[in-house]
Amino acid sequence: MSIKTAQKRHKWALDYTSKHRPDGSKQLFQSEPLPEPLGFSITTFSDSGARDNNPDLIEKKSWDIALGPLKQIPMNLFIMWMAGNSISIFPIMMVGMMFIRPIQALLAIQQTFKMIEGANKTIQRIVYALGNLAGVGLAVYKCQVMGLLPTHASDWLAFVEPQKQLEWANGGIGL
Amino acid sequence: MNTLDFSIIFQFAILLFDRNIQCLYEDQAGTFDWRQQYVGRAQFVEYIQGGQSGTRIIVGTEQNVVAAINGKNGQIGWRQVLEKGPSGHINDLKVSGNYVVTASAGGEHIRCFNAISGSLHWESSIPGALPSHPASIQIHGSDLVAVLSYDRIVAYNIEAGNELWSLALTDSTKVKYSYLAFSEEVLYAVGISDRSHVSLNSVRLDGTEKTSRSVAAVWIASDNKCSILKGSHLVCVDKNSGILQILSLANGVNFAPLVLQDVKVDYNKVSFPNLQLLGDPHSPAVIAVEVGDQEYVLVAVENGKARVVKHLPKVAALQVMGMGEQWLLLTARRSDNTDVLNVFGSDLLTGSPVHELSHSIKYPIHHGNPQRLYGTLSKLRDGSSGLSLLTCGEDHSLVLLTHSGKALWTREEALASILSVEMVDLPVSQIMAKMEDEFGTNDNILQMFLKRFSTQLSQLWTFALQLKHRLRIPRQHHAGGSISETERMSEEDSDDDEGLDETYLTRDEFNLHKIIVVVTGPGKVFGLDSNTGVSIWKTFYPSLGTFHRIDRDVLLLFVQRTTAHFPHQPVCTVLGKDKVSGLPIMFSFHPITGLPSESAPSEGRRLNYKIVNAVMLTQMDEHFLHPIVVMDSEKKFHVYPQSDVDLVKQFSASLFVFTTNIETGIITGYGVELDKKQQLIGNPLWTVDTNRNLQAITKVVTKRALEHVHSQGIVLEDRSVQYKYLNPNLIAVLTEGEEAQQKASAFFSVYLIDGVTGNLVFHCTHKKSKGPIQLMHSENWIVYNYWNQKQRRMELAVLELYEGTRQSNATAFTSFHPPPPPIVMRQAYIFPGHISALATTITEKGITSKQLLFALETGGVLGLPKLLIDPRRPEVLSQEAREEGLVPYLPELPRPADHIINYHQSVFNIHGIHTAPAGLESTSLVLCYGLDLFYTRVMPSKMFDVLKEDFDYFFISSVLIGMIVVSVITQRLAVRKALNRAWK
Repeated sequence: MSIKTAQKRHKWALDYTSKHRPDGSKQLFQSEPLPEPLGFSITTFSDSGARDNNPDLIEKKSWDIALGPLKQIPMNLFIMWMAGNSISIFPIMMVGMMFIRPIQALLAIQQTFKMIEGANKTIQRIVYALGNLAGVGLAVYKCQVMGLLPTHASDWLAFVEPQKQLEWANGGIGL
Repeated sequence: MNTLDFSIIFQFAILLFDRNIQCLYEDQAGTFDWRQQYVGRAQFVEYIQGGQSGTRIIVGTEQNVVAAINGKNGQIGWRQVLEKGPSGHINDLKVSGNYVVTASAGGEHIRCFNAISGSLHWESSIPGALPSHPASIQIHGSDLVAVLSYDRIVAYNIEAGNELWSLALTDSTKVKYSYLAFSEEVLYAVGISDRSHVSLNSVRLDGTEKTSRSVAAVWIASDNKCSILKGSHLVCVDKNSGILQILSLANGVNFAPLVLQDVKVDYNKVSFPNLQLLGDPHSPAVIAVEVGDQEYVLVAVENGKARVVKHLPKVAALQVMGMGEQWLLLTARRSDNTDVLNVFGSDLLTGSPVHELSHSIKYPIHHGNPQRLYGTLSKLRDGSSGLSLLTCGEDHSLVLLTHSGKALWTREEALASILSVEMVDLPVSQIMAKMEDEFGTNDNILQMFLKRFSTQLSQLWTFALQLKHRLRIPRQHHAGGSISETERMSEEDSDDDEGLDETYLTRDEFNLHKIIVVVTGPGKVFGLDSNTGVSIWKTFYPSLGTFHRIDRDVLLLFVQRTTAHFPHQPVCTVLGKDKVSGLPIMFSFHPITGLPSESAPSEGRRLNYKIVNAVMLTQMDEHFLHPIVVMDSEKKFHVYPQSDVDLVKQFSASLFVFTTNIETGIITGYGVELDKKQQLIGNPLWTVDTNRNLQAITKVVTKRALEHVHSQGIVLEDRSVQYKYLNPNLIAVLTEGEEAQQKASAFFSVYLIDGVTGNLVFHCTHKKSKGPIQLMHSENWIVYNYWNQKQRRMELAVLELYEGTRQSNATAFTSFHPPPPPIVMRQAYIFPGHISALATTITEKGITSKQLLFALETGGVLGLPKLLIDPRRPEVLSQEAREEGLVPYLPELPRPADHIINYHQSVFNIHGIHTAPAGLESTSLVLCYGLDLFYTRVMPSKMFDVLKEDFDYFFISSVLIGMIVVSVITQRLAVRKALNRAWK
C-alpha cells in the first residue's frame, strides 16, 4: 500500500531513490521506503458517522427547499398588486416572470427531488410541487384579472361560424 | 364643466376622423374613378348655326335638362338640370337669337337661358299654372315671348324678361287651351272642349283681345292630337275614324275633313295616327301623319283644304329642310337589319329625287331605328353642300351623321336612364383557366405532367410576349377620369376593327377590373369597362319594355352564372315586358361579350302569361346555373331553364315567395308546392294587411343575397357578446300615409316582417314625417331618411336588431323556430342635406367595416362610416363606452368635405348606387347612376391588405440586405478574433 502511495506521488516530486531514471541515467542510491511518521495513517475514514448523527439538519434543509415556492407567494401577491391591471410592458414582464419561475422549477423538478431527502421526503416533494403549481395558478389568476385569458364569449366570436340558412324567401313588389 | 366636455368631444371627433379619413391627393383624381355626364332623351332639339362658338345643338330632355351640345364633337357645352319630377318637366323649348326659353310644369317656371354660356338670363312664373296642363311657347320677331298656360297668355320681353301683358282666357275650366301660334301680327290660342267645340282666341301683339269664337266639333276629345300649321290652320286627327280635320284659324267656320282613302290605316292600334310638324314656319304647309309603324302620309294644307301629297310606306323618320329656294324632304330608313341607314332627299312638292342628299350612312344596329331627324346643310369648300344629320334613335342616342357616310359623334343617352346594374368578374386568362382545368380531371400522371408542362411553357411564352409588347409600346389604357368624351366617341368609331387586346379583358390581380352590365330604360344593355367607363359592347333589344313599379320603371337583371365556372360560359338574363304585347320577355347574354347565350333564343324568350314576380335562386344546378323562378298571376311557378325544375322541386320545401300588392296593401307569402300534376304551385301561407285605407306601401326592401356577415355579434364593454339578429329572410316594408284628422300631417311606418312565416318582427311609426324616403337594409340594421315636418329638417334613423347575449341557435337560422323577439336599438340623427339615393358598401368577406353612401341632391356623394350612424352612441361618454369605441352622441351628423367621394365631380339626379365587392377585402366598387354616372373604389377601413403606394421597397430591402451582410461579416470577424486570442 505504501508503495502504491509512493507511486501515486505527484509527478513533479523528484524521486532520487528510484532505480530507473526516466532518462536512463544511473540512480544515485537505492533505499527502502521510510517508515511512516507516528500517528499518520494512510487510510481515510468516511465521516458518515457524523452525518448519521444529525438527521434534523437534513430535514430542515429539505423543508427549506420544499417550502421555498410557497414562501414566494406573498411576495408575488405584493408584486401583483403593485403592477396593476393595465396592459403595458411592465405588468406583462411581471406576469411573464411569475410564469417562468415556477414553470422552470417544475421542469427541473427531478434534480430538486434528488436534493430532498429524509423521512418526510414524499410530503416535501408534494409540497414543493404544489407550491410551484400555486405560483403558476397565481400567474394565471393575474392573467385572468388582467383580461388576458380567453374566457369570455367575445374572445371566441371571431371563430363563430355564420348561421346556416335553412329557408329562402324571395320576392318584392309585384310586377 | 361644459367646456371640458366639449373639448373632450371635440378631441374625440378629431381622433375619429383621423382614423377614417379618406381623401385623394390631387394627382390621384381620375386614376380609379370616372364620371360621365348625360342629358337624357332629347324631346326638343334646336340648332344654333355658326357664330363664334360653332354649331350648337340645344336640347331639352325628358330628364328635365336643358343643354347645349357642341356640334363638332358632341360634348356638352353647358347643361342646366331643372327641378326633379313634374315640377321641372319641360313643356316647351324655343330658341330665339342667343336665348333659349323654356316652360316647365305648365308655366310654373319660365326660364330664359343664354345660349352661349348657359347662364340663366331671367326667370318668371305664371300664377295659376297647373303642372298637369302643359304650357306652350311662341316667339314673335326677336323680342316677344308668349306663353300659354292653364288659364292665361303671358307675354314677356326676351331681353329684359319683364312681363309685357297678361291676358286671362275665358272658360278655362272647361276648355283645355293647348295650342299657341303667331300668324303675322296676331296670336292665336286654341283650346279644346271635350266632345263639344274648339275655342279660338286671337290676340293682338299689344295684348288686347281681337276675337273670341268657337267652332263646333263633336268628335273632338281632349286627348286629341292637333297641330297648328304655319300659324294658319289647325289640323286635328279624329282618333276614332282616323279622319283628318282641318280648320282655317282666320276665317274657318267648320272643320274640313280629309279621309285618307288611299292609305290603309289600322285604326285599332292605339298610338296611331300621329301628327308630326315638319320644317320651320317658313316651309310650305305640309304635315306628316304617322299612320302606322314606319308609315307616313304627307298632307299639304291650303286655304282650309287639305290634300295628300305623298304616301311614304317605309320610312323611319323624316324632315323638311330648305336649300336655297327649294324645299326638300329628307327621309331615312334602315336597310333591313344592317348597319346602313339609307337617307333619301327629294323635292317636297314635286317629289323628284335630289341625289346629292341621298346617302348610305353607317348607323350601327344598336341604335334601333332613327325616330327623328334634324338635317342641316353647310356649304363646303368646293361649293357643294354638305349634309349633316342629327338623329335621335330609338335607344335615346343622339348621333350626328355626315355626308361622308359615318357618324361624327355619338351620345349614348340611354345611360341617363339606367334601371339595373350588375358588376361581373372578368374571366381568368386562358392559361390560368387551363391550370384550373387540371384539377378535377382524372388523367394519369403522365398526362397530367405533360399538361402541366405545356401550360407552364405557354405561360412563360406569353409572359415573354407581354414583356416584349410592354417594352415596345407603353400602355395605352389609362384611367377614365382623364378620358374625354371625344376620345370615347373616336373609340366607338373604331370599335369594329379594333380587336381589344386579348389579355385586357382578363381578371387582374385583385379583381378590381370588372364589366359593369347596365340595363337602361329604352331596352339597351351595355357592358362598360370599369376601368375607363367605355362601353365594350352594347345590345339594343327593341322589343324590351319596362315593368312599372310604384313610381319607377323596372327591368330585372340576373347574373345566372358568373365567370368562375370555366368552361361553362357566364350568363346574364334581363327580364322585361314586350313593348307590343305587354307579356314578359327574357333575353340571355354573355356578360363579357354581349353576345346572346347559346342556350337561349337570340330573339328572346317570350312568356305567355302575366308575371307577378321573378326571383333568382341562390342554389345552383349541376351546370352552376342559378335558375330563375317566375310566378305568374295564377300562382304557378315557371323555372328557367326548364331543365332545372327538378332542382327546384328538390328545394321546394325550403323555398318561399312573397308578393306585395300595392293596390290592396296586402303582402302574401307563398310556399312552393307540387300539385296533383306535379306542377310547381304557390300555396298561400300568410298575409299581412297594411291597411290600404290609411297608408300605402312604397318600398319593400330585402337584404342582398351575396352579402356576407363576418362577425356574428358585437363585443360589449364587459366583454360579453351582443349577438346580431341575422334573419336572412327579413324584409323591411315601408308604408306612407296621411293623418286622418289633420290633413297636412303625414306619417310613415316601417314594418320588419319575416319573409317565410309572415311574423311581424318589429314595427314603428314616425309621425309628422314624410318622404321621399330611402331605405337601406343590410346585416342586422336598417337605415332610412325622411323629412321631419315639425322640425323642418332631414333626419336619418337607424334600427339595429340584436338577439341578446345568448344565441338561441348558433348553427342555423330557421324562421319556424325563431329566436326570441330581437332587441331593437334605434336612434335618429339630423342629416345635413337631401338624399336622393342611399347604399352601403359590400366587401368580399364582410370583415371590413361598413360605409354608408349618400347621393346628395347638391351633386356630392357622401361616404360616412357606419360608426357614426350607430344607435348605441351614448349621450355621456363613459370610460367603458370609450373603450368600446363608441362615439358620443351628437344630433347632427357631420358632412366633412373630405368624405365626399366624388370630390368636385358633381353628379346629378342620382337614383341608385350599386356597390360590388372586389377581390381585395378592403375595397368596394361603387357606381352611382342617374343622369350622370360616377364610378370609384372606396376603402371604408383604408387599404389594410395592400402595401401603400409610397411603400419604400428599395429602402426596406436595402436595409434588410445590409443587415444580413453586416451580420455575416461580423460573424467572420468574431471568429477570427477568437482564434487570434486563442493563439496568444
